Amino acid sequence: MAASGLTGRGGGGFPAAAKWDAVTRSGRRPLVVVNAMEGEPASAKDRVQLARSPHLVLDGAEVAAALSGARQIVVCVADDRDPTARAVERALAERGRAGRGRPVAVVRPPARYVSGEESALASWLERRDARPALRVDKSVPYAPGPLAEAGATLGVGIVVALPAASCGIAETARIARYMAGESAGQCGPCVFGLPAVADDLELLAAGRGDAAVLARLEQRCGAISGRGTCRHPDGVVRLVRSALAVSSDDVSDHAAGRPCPGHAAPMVLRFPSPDHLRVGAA
Amino acid sequence: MSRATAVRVRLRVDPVACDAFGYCAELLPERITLDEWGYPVVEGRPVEPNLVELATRAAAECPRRALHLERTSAPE
Repeated sequence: MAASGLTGRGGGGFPAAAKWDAVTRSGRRPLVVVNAMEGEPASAKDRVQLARSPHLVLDGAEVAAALSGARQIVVCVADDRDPTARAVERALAERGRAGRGRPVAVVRPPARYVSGEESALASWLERRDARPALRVDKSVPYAPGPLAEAGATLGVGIVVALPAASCGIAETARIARYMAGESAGQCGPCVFGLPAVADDLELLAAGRGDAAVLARLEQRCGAISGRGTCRHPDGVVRLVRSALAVSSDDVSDHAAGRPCPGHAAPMVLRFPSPDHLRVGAA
Repeated sequence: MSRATAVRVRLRVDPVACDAFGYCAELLPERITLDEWGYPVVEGRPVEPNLVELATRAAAECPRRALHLERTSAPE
């Protein structure tokens, strides 16, 4: 597995071999968890995969269980994703008729972004508490070369092309507001910092933020990074910094009181739970 | 009463336990500042030997037991 260079597709690009190694050495009987929580904004990957080829996913889980000695498989589908859960149940019924496989349970954790975070999901499965646990630093560098050289990572593999008429700053503000609402509420820098970052971005997007607001935003990003028990706030800060860097000309115009017309347009990005969206451009 | 200690320690905040009482920054302003929301910011470098006693006191006074001193092998 190490030789194959296989990595996770959950955003971190974590080497699969290292994860398997940790499972083997833990000495505990493993449980195979299929994480189909899909809390990332604009994502449809888990839904599409499980609707179109559920058996591929379940076959993979079976292989993982056979290799690791796990007796049970759990498929986690967020509690607001009934069609996806039904697709999995249908596939399981088909497999049952074919007399294949070991026990598979479909469980429905709460539909919140951090619920899909690995340690939060494990915590929910053990204690029905979907909040991240103390994180373990991974000293293994992130994978694929060309992206790394460009200063980027694979992320979760979601690519959205924003139309020319849309406003990248307004879209970023909406993501930041959504992500602020998805905090597990455990750490101060995340609970207070992310809404403050979203405030600044919304001011900038609407052309009501000047150079001082921009400076404050950058200072806040620096103050939040690395200070949560999980990496949720770090990920938001990375996204915001990246967006500001990529659209620096646009940012300058907005900060000079000349917002692009797109800031008031309907939003392009879609989010898993629309009820979290209480964001206007102002 | 105190003797110089050879053990290197560094400060760590448990962000889940911390409730921004801010006592730590009052007791050890040399090494702890508060962010705009009142939560402590600590650096990862080892605490100078002459501040270890104050750091220990700051950790002990935290109402949430959120400030910890960790042994470290990192050079000062």
